[in-house]
Amino acid sequence: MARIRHNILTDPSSLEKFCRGINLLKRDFSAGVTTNSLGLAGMNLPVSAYDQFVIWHYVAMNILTPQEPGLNPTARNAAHRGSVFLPWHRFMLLLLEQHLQRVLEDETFGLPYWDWAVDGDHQPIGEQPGLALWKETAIGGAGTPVEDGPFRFDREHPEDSFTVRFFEDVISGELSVPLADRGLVRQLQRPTSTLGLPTSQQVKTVLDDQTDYDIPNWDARCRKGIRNLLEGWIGFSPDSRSELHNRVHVWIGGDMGPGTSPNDPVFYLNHCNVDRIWEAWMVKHGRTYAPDDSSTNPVGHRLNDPIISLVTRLTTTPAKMLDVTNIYTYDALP
Amino acid sequence: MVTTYTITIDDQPVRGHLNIDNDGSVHYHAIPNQEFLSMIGMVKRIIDLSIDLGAIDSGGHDHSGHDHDSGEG
Repeated sequence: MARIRHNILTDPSSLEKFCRGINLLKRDFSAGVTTNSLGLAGMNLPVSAYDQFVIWHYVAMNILTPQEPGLNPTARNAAHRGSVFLPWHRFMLLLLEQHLQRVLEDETFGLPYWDWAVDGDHQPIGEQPGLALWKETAIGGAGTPVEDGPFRFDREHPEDSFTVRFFEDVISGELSVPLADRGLVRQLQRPTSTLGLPTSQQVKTVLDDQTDYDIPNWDARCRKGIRNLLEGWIGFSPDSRSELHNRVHVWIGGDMGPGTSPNDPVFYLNHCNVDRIWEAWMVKHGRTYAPDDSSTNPVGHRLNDPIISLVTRLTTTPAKMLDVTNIYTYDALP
Repeated sequence: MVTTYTITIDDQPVRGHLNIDNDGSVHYHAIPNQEFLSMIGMVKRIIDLSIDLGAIDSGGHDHSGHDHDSGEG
């Protein structure tokens, strides 16, 4: 029987299990995985089950597609700015969900989502950082580091704290280790910004106006298609290109900024909501995908190209990710 | 057309993958969810994020009440 993914703000059990499970995965080194075994050079450091996902995301961000001479080598990467964005992250969430079920010893657990459009509709915009998700009783609020909630950092007891062990140095572009123990960094609406979270009207635009999954050239410059609109590269106003999924990353800021953004557990709440919107779109418009397997389309983003994970030997394809209703469903679709 | 940039911040070379579109907007794969209207805007954002995440010293510059306009798109 398919498990059900719930709204984290209306299902206290999902909130409690999500936070407990994430903290268990941060401390789970049982698989004996190290940075060297993941193929990273340099110091050989142990990697927790949780941090394997952080490193996987970082690595995917640095695999450029296509790599063929003559084509723009930096337009896409193996998980973003191209057609594979939605199925790649669906696969990632499925694997994390399995790990959470394992440490929670609960096969019925479904990853919760954060319906950020409800918060995005809240006025005035300046109050959005104070809404329910960011309370101490939910996932904690802003901070450098975050000092409240289940993922807090305690300077007196860093060994008992939620710590960031690997992050992308955005100058060198390399995976780095903090010089000293540090917690999560979250800004929640940067000080100079007047931008709020995405709104329900914008989600409605995704569902009502887009009949194509993706269109040529299958990159961030496409002016149509649910993939590029939902990823957030099509502006709702002339001067904005960080919308929907991208807007949520930018609005939260801090560790949600670089390629190691899964450091912040809210990454999964955001992507689960993105996945929910994609699922709603497929229910309405059909379980379609583009591009097909033609050789003229970008390798790594085609219907039957393999999606490779650092956390399992299993691979999948976009085609296999289109219908997973036998694995999970959502309590409600937008 | 191929453009080449050499960017350093405090003598450290910026080495992540850059993409510059035909309209001049800039994307930097190390900050994957944003595009910038100019290279200067991108570098400002790299500096802000590096300070926030403790990758470089702020030199006593307190970032808690503001950040720098990066002209992000």
